[in-house]
Amino acid sequence: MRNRRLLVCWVCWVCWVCWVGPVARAVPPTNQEMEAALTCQCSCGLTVHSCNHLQCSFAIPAKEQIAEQLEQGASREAILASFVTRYGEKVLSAPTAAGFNLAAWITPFLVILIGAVGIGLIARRWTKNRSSVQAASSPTTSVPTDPYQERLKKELETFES
Amino acid sequence: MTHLGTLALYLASVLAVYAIVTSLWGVRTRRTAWIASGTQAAYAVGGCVVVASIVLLHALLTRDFNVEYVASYSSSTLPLHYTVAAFWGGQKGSLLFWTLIHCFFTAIVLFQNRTRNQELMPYVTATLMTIALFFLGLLCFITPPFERLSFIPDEGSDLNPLLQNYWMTIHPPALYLGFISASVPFAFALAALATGKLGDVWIRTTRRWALTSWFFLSLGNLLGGRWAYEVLGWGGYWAWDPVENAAIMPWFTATAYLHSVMIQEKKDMLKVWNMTLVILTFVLTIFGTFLTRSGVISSVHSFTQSGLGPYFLTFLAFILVVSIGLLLYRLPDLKSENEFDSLLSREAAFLFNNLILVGLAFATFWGTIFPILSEWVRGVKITVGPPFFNQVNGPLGVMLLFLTGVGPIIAWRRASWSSLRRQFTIPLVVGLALGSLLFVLGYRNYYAVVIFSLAGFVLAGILAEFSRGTRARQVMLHESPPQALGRLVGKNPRRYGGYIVHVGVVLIFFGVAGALFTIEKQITVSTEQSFEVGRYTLLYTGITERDDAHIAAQVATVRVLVDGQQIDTMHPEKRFYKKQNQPTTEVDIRPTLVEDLYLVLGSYDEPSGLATFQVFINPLVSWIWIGGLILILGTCVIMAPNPAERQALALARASADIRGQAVAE
Repeated sequence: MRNRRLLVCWVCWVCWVCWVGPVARAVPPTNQEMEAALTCQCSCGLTVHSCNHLQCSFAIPAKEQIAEQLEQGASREAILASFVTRYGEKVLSAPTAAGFNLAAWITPFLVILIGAVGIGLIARRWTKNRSSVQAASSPTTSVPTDPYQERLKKELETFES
Repeated sequence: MTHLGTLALYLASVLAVYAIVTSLWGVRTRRTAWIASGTQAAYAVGGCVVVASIVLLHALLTRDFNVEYVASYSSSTLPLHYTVAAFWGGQKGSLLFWTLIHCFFTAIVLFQNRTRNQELMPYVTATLMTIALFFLGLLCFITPPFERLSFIPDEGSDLNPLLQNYWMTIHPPALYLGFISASVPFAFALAALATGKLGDVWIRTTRRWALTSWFFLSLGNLLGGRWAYEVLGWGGYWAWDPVENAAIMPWFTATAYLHSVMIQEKKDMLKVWNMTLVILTFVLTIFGTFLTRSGVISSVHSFTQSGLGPYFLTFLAFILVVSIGLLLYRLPDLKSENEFDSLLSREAAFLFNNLILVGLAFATFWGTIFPILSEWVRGVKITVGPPFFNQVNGPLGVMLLFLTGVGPIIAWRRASWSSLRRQFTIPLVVGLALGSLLFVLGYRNYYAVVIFSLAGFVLAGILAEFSRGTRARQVMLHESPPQALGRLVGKNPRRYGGYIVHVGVVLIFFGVAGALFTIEKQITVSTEQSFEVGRYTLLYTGITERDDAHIAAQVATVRVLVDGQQIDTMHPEKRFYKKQNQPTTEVDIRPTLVEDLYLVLGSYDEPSGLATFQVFINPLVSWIWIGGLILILGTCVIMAPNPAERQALALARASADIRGQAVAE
């Protein structure tokens, strides 16, 4: 029981470390973050921030517009909305977390979660298989343990670890 | 000469059909002569494809611009090595190149198994020849590489300048080798399903092929990253481009397979799962090829729009139907006596590692196809770019790194709390100490601290494993430390080679985490003007021009100073490829183990003498390439001849034979 509790605590900690921690930090957007949130429309296939055309007719004005809006204190959402109004949703470098697009974000984690539950259930069934096989092969539990077997088990454990 | 190439491809198609039919007919009628004839035909297919490839290479090297492919992808001024690379630089040539490698691998497999696996081989031949037939069909009827123009152009259009880089001469072949070698385990898996020989033999026979495929996929992806880093000039090496995604997806599933297959070998478990992973890896290689060639996505790597999409989709559907059909048919025979001792065991760690790896493959697949889904469902075009993949795959990658550390040191079967304490204390202390040290030093980037701590945890665990094994040999066999270490690895190359691969993977993570501290600056300066970036002072001293028949280039000279002392001179270029009428940037990189100074000449205004530079300071990037080299070394160790493995294979074959005889009696 104690082991199981420890395992649950550990799983929660790992989840927090991996997902909740980074999301929980609320920091104001930087130019770089905003530029990375937009896809360049010059067909380079990169974000506005990474566009490798230094004279790019899209990335350069877009960077200026972002800097201007940030200076005026515009929020991340407002800046992105201004670009979406002008160029459509394809200008965003990641899907919005709303409506059908929510499926893009949720599905991978949902699949992994289902997989994890599946693994848990299967492992439990297989563990039961083993217990029943062991129970069937040892008719009585009162038989004293063979000291050699005990030693072998210990050594095997040390060897395998 | 090109008629010979066309004829060779048609003949190869006919022979491939013959090989498929005779192999299967031979099994049905139990006549070995037919099976042998099918094998010979498969060799002959390879011969024909070699002839066709030589013809195309000859056309490229002799600049036969009447051949449409040669005129489209080469020019009279294209250097020799890029002229050879033009073989796989275009759609048609790359399909022929694919077929050539496939036939080469087929020949090796047939030769290796000329006296072995006699029951499996007819099906292996039929499967490999079916794959070859698909590509030959495309080459004969859809994208003929020897098509001639109605006129002879004076000059060719040249190879895309982005492809005129030395990494490009080895990156595509490496990736193709990885993609195509995945067809061998797939063929054996189908053969095992078809024959019902579902024991260890096919797994052990194809272990090296699976490893070869994984090795070349790793190499191909790393070389692709290096190419992007040097050529694309945006300071990075991985942009989660759809074609990059297509290359990494089979790598994820192949990695999962290489781990889960160990459980099958040790405990005879996960047979269905391993079969699924082999099929999935092959399907993903074909899916990747479909993505690159169908035109459904736009990418810097993809070939021009073509009508190949429906053919690839049909082939993909055919593979899935046959594979899933056979898998379902054999499902009752694949059930094993699954026994599991505990969730605190190496088996469980491998299961979770598989979950994360397949999860990564799925997340990448999902993100890649989501724009298409969005267009179908909502009629709205959207982009799924790096921010999505970084947010979804990033945490999964961190979990994978953690499991990379757990897997090698946790016990098989059941880890007791005492053994966990014994095995994990040092790695945990090292990991936590590293994390705390970084925190105390002022590093507040959450991901970086976690990744560096985990890197320390994994490396400490692996080093402890090497140290324990070496010390044990020293004590028991009185060997010197180097001798003990060498023999430790030599006695169990698979285990310790795997650890070396893990070290490589950790270093790659370490290098990738460096991207979180990138510094960049864009600046316009005049001659003899200097500017500061990070700890560097860069002094721009002027531009020189270079001009030849192929390229016109403006080469900037920038002196690099640290604390007033000149440490280097860099020469970023702006190139203009005359035939393609296309300007490109040629970055200059000053790599060190701590950071790369990455300099791009964006533009140069001749009248004013003003030059615009983009400068990146990319920390730890070199560790990605060093990690790649260690990964190669580790794979070589794993693949080293291993008597124990040969013995295991012989044992598996013998027990399969005994089982077969028992069933016959």
